[in-house]
Amino acid sequence: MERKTRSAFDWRRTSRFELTPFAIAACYAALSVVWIAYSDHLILSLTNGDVAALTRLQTLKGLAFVLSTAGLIYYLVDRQMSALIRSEEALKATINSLADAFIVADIGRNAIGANRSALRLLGLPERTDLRMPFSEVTRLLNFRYPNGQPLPLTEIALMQALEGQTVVAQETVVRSADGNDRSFSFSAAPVRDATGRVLMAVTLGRDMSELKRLATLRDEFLSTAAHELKTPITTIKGYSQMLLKWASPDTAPREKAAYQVLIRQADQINRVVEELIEVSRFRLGRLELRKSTFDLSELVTEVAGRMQAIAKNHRLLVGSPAPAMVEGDRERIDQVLVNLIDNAMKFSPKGGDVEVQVQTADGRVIVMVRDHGIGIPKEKQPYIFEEFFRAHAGTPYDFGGMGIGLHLCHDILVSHGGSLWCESEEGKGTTIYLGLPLKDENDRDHR
Amino acid sequence: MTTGSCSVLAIDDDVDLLGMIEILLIDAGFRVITARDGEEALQRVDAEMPGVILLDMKMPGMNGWEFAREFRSRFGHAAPIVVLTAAEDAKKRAQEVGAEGFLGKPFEIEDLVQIVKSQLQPCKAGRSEDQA
Repeated sequence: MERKTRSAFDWRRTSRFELTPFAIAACYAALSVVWIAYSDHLILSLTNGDVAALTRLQTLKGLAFVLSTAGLIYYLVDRQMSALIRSEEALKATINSLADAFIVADIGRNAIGANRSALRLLGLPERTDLRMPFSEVTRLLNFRYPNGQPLPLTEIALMQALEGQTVVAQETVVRSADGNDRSFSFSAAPVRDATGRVLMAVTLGRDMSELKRLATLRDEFLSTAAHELKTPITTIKGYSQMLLKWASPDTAPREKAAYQVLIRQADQINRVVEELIEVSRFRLGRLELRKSTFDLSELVTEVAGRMQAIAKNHRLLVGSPAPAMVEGDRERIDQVLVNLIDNAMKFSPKGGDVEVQVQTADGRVIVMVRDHGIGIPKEKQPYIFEEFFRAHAGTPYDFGGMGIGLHLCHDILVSHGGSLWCESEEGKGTTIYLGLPLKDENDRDHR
Repeated sequence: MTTGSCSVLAIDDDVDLLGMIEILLIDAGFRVITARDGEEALQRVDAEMPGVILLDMKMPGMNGWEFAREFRSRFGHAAPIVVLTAAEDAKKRAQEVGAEGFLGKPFEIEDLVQIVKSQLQPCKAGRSEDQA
């Protein structure tokens, strides 16, 4: 029979056979019953009526019973305690070996434990028994939002966890003990007792600095490469247009058609290049959001009007009954709307209606762009806002492109404190929803 | 230094693009002088003041900004400058160097011809070739 493989956390089973509490108690009870039942007979037969000897033997019997019971209790308690200590030590060693910073806090908002990585981040000696108010920890680390704004204590993942919230991947900037700023991603969760009451909270922070550095390098490279491509595109397009111009009336139509294709392709390459430039600029933060207060309803109507003018097979139905004042970069939101309507038309190639509706509710304005086209397969829906993801790649509805339009739209919305989501049914159509906070409700600091 | 000629000075470090612009403008009836960088461009200007300057911004050696600064300090607005640039903030860059016009890359060939026509200083010496 195969030996059962132990899980990494299975420190309890140190002996080869299972000694469950029931087995131990049952054995003890059985032995005791046997002893109680037959020991008197045994002693009587040994002493043969000698009362003094009988008394001595009974006393000895009692002592033996007490000693063996005491010995058993000692053995069992010692075994369990050792196992518990071993278990605790193994857990501590595991947590200490984590590269991520681990901190525990109690409901009094005190940090009551930290692993080696966390202590190093705080600039404290390796085996420090951490006991300080968490506000002191935040003072040392200087928690900030990625944009540099201070992160309030109550917003910090660990503090949210003390309130019962589980937080995943909160992006922050902290100042490590060596004085450098580092990008950290914190997750935190509450630890509850049997009644569900929060006893403490734990947090795990991952140093993302290297990832960010690589991402910045990548975006700088993309930006440079994209700019470099512009010049050869200009040359190709220029000559192609000249070749077309030089073609005489007797030139074969296929030759002129070929030049036209070259021109179109040059334009296509240029579109991709410009998307690359946009995305890399946005990510490098050079795409500053120029915020102003404007009427989203009015913008929607205007964009729809422009799109209708160039729409050949589609009818745009716009419903924006009431003004919706928002704060944001009008040009960027314009870009997003154009992208959404363009997608709606692109993915309903048979033509038809595209509905664009603006609604306000609960301090938010929601713009809905609905088409009745080919829809998005269910299994692909969770990924449509991911960079480079193309839901229809390789299908008959593959219209090419780099698939970075929706990703950029999502980024733009998120940086406005808004959201972007979709509903779709394959073969029936897709609805994209865009949500933004309304201006007069939006009195919190921008992230 | 002759003034008021109706030549076009095209400045770009890319040989192929420069060649394309040259052929395009010659085809459209203009006289074209070319330069591969700011230094060479200044030499050309010294020899003959052009009627309009087409300026690429990113060049090794003396780049577009530096050329524009040099040209302005030496010759003021003797010739209009049209910035040709791949940058998306083309307008801003043009303003930075006090250019009279700008054209983003890639451009329609007709647009380049048009902007040259509209910016070209009238020839004081009289035009040798008239074009529509």
